[in-house]
Amino acid sequence: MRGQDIVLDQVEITYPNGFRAVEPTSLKVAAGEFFSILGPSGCGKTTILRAVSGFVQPSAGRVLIGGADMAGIGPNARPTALIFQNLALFPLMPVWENVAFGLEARGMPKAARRARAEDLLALVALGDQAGKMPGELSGGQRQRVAIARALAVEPAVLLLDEPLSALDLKLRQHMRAELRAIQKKTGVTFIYITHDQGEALTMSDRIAVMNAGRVEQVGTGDEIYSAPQTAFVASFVGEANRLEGRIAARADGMAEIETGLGRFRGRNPQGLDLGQPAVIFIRPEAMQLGAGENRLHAQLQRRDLEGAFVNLFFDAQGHTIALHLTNSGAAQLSGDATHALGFAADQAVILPLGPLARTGQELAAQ
Amino acid sequence: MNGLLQGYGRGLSALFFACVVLWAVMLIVLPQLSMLERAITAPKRALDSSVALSLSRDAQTCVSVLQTYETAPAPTGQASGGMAVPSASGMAVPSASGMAVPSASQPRVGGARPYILQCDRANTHRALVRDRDEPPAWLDTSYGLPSLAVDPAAPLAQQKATANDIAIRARALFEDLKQREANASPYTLDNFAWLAAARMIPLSANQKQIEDGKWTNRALGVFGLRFEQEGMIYERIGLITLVRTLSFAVAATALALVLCYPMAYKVALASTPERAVWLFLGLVIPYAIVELMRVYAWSVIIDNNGLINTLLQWLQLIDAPIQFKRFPATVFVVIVYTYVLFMVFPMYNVMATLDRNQIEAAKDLGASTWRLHWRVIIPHAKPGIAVGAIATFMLAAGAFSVPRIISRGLQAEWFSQSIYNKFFESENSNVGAAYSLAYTLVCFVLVGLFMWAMRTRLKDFARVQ
Repeated sequence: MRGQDIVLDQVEITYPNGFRAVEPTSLKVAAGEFFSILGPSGCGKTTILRAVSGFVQPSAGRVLIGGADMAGIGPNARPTALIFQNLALFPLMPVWENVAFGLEARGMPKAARRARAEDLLALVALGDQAGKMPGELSGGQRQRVAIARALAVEPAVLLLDEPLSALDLKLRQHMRAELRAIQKKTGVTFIYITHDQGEALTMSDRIAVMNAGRVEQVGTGDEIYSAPQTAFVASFVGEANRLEGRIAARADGMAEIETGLGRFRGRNPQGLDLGQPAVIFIRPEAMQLGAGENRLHAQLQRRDLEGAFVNLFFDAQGHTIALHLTNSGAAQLSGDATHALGFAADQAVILPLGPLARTGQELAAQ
Repeated sequence: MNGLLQGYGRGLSALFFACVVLWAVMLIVLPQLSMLERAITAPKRALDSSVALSLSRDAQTCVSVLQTYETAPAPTGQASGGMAVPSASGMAVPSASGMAVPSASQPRVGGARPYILQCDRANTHRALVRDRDEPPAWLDTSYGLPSLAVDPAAPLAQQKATANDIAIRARALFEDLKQREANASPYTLDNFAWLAAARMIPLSANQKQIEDGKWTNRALGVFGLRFEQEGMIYERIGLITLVRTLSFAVAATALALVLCYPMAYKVALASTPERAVWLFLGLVIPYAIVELMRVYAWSVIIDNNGLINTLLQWLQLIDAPIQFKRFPATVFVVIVYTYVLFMVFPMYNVMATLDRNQIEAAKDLGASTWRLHWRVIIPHAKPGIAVGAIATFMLAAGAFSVPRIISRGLQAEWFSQSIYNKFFESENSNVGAAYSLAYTLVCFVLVGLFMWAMRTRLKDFARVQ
């Protein structure tokens, strides 16, 4: 198996009812890469996946796999295999027939495809489950059957549509590692769709963050997390304290922003000019107790113990400021007192004001 | 059971169970049992014992009447003449009320006494009641009685003695037969034999040649359902009707299946929800019309003065109307149309539960359309196909109004019509019971075989609804 590269060239997808799911988008995925598309539900990430697999025809633009234009080629003729969110195993066939289905469609004789299916099941550590029905397997086993079934047709590109979302936490974490290992072993190009930033960050070589049919940023996990390019990326990936204001000063890639809580210095990757509306994002783990380069005052509201970590929530004139500390066992903070908080300027990023990811509170209110 | 108690409480659950039991007993068990009993009960007719009893009574009456002649002088003139009682021998009528009626119209025989009907009937050589196709039988030959008769020419005393002898013997035979009949099983399989009975088909030489050439008739010959004996053609009409009806029903089911599968697939899986609603409505509306009207609508189309014939004649394509009612295919087509819905809906229901991702997964893995249906959709829809096929088959096999309205007696009858005729228009309704019971059993076996062939387990049917 050899992975192939995928190129989306100004792909635009509009549904027959007029809804534009994907704005003109260009993406390049290298051969053998583990590429994630991360975004909230409804952002168009699944539509892009379906355009690559062939179930959706782009309204404009081209999809190229291994350099070949896929226009007019149906899903059954593309070198891709899709793993569905609900896996879509065939419940009336035993496991090995599920895995061998793609080979059966290619006319491989029964004995050969059974042998091949058993090899693949061994690869995903299900060698002894070949004769069972999918309904008799656990969630994680079914997951691996779906992977084996997709790999059986020796695809150049494996497309995964949130395949882990139905699993419970422990299993999900285990399957992340397993998926990554399988990808390394086979060298197949993976395109992985998820709304779970943890999955995207742990597994991917590169991540594309999407919002409202648009790719906001493409980069490695570190780039996405530490150097977000847009307000949406900064607010969607990881947690961040955010304060709105206007640029008050700028110099050497840094800038100062005037907010309701005072004036703060931070990085200015987009080169914002004086007076422009902007947002400053500070990760909770970048915040510190006691004054720093930037400082503000706030009252402690809540302390959540997470075990190794402690989350502290402060109120600063109506803004909630979160702090994420390692639990040293010391410093029991008393409530109601006003505390000084601070953060380093290079830990904060100032980005143009733009659409933000919805907070949990907003999602719950929906 | 617990769920029922929790959901409806004690009172309603008890009512529910009572209704279920009542339903099962009244509508399933009892009718089938009574049908079974009727089917294996011989037709009602005069029993041999009643013939013996009747003879004994006649002889008794003869004796007492002769007694009056012995003591009183013979009446003179015609004035005393009463009404002659026609002989009812062979009919299951008890001897005419025991009254002796001297007939005035008969000449006096031997001068000793007038003609006495009962004495004339006091004859041990009396016919027993038998079916038309059975050989005739007589009381004396069947039960070893001496052949005795009251000879009107003999002296009165001797006549009396003979009559007395007959009365005593007949009485004894009656007691004996009654005992035997009470002990004998009243059940017989004769009614079922009617199903296989061969009937002579009167045919002219020309017709016979034409009929013999038909492949259908040759096929019947192969299975022994039609044969020639002494130059005459015999057919086992009952069995032929049965086989013919079942073949039509199976073919109608197969055609309905072929028609409905794409329809159900289209509505359930290959349409957007908005379009599926319209398609669904299109399927339902024709069936919101009463069955009789649906069938009658066809009658309007295929009538001799109907839509098709009028159109063809107007276009001058034909001179005389085509007699569609004579074509078995017409009944077949109308049956398919009438019952196709019962195929579509179970299939639609079960197909609609198929996860469309499975279809996409199969396509994504490279499956052709054929393989997609054969390996993914049909296995999933199998319980629906089985339910639909069974429903359509049973409805087609039991169809009554369609063949009756469409063929108007211009074609061989459907087996359900045979049952109706045996029940309500023949002298022996027990044969009708045997027909219907046999039909039920045959259909039951066919449905069982079908389910076995489809490898459908009963629990799969739970998925359909």
